[in-house]
Amino acid sequence: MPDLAPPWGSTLSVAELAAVRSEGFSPVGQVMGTCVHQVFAYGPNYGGGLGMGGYGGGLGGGRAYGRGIAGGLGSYGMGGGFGAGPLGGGGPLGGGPLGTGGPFGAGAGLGSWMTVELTGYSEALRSARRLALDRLAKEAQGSHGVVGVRLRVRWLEETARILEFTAIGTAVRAQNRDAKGQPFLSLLSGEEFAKLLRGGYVPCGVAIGVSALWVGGGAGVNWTTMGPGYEIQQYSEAAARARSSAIAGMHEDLRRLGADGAVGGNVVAQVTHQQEGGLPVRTVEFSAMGTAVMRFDKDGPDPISPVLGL
Amino acid sequence: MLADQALDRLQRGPDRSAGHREFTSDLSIEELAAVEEAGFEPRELVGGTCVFRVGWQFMGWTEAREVDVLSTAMYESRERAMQRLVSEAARVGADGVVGVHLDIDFDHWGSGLGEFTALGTAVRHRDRPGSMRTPTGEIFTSDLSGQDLWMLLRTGYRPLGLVMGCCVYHYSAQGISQWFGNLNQNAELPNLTSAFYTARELAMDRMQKEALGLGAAGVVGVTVSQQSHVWGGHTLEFLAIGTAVRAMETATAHDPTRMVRHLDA
Repeated sequence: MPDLAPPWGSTLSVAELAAVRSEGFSPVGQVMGTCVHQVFAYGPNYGGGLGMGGYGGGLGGGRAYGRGIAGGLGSYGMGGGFGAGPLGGGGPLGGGPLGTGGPFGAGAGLGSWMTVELTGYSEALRSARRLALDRLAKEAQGSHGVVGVRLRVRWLEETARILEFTAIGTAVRAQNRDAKGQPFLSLLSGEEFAKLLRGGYVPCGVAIGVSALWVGGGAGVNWTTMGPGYEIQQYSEAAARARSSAIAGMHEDLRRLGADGAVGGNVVAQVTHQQEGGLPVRTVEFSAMGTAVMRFDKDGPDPISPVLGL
Repeated sequence: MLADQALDRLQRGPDRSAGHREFTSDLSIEELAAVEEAGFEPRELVGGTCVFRVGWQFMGWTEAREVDVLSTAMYESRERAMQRLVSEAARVGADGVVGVHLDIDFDHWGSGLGEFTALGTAVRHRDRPGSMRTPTGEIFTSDLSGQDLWMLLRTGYRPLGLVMGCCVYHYSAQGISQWFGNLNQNAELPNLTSAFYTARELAMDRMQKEALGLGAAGVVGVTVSQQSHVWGGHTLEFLAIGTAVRAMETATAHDPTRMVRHLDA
């Protein structure tokens, strides 16, 4: 029995194993990180969670938050005033100064034209992902990095707003070299990992951006009549804004990691809607995730030549 | 129309000592390798969104014709999404946008509302920025993957722009006498044949006109799809989409393509 090392577990397919080994890496073991997190989309943001659920029209104002005032606020200047009318009860809360970020700032929410960033909610979604990944990285301590990270997000109990985030991957180490510092994380398959190295890049982490917006419902949409179509500017802007903020979040991660860029960007947009005080409102959620990569010195990437498969 | 956040993100100058800004992309690893070998560098994941109330017009049960209101709406909203994608790309100094995906979501914003999204990775020529813009200096767009872009350039063509044409068509039901006549028979349904024929031709023709406007030599990778979206039976959108290309001004000689036999397939 020449080799008594315990067997390694891995999520790698045979082809992935071959590809990883072709670059001089061997699997160390399967690693995992989990985070079960409660998330509230509608609470006032300063609490980051509990608080007024926000379904009741009267308290709707609570969901406005300092930096969350829509870009379009200027044009609707009287957010508070608008708010109070349609939903009633908004009055006492709605009168607060606009855009100041006071506890009930802006009384916004209530106006049917407002778009408000759900800062606390997006931050919760982002940090829960981060926690799962960080725990996976902790398990991978002593290896060079982790390939094939899969991040699964699922509702455990939707009504209780509980989400489970689980990341699973395979830790690898370069043969005959000591692992120093933090292991890199990557969403790449074994083959992709090999191709990336041959292309002159190394993975250096996972970049994540999440953005969620609360979008008021009115917008003067006439749902039924015949006739030519038109754009709903408020919604277009909200969707574009959610996407941009999510990508901006990725940039933050990239800068923190000192990366040159992100590849394999996976962007998921999601819109949910419900009634609040008789008016339709929506939340727009946009998440972006990719593998951060860094160039390394190499005598140029391997050349590519076209082949015609028979 | 760009969100403030987009402006912040796109206008952020070099903020690292190395003097370059990091890129984001939805490129696969294979695409990254191909795009770089083709002489480009990725700049940013860019997109455009347009939420549109698509409208409706009355159509008689027996009418077979184009639903102009919907054709216009479906085209106009995609076009706006594309324009926004291009203006995001312009702000990062891109020469083009590769791997553009167009998506429609009719489920989430409300009845009659469609969210039209265009998403792709803005790229710039590494050594000669601007050289791969179109002859009129515009940013090129393409639904080709990174690998296809690499292959296209090697073949001696350059991309000009994503071109599309669409036609929403309402086709009539069979008349009662036709229905009886065809009962239990194998027979062509001429009104359907002609409706589908006409609508598809209209979509392809419109796409071709766009390509003509760009001064293209041809259009590669054309797909013609048909979908009824949220309109139920008898109303279909035909969408033709592809990448307009033209021959490169100067041809570059490349190694000949080798033939290989894969052992695993």
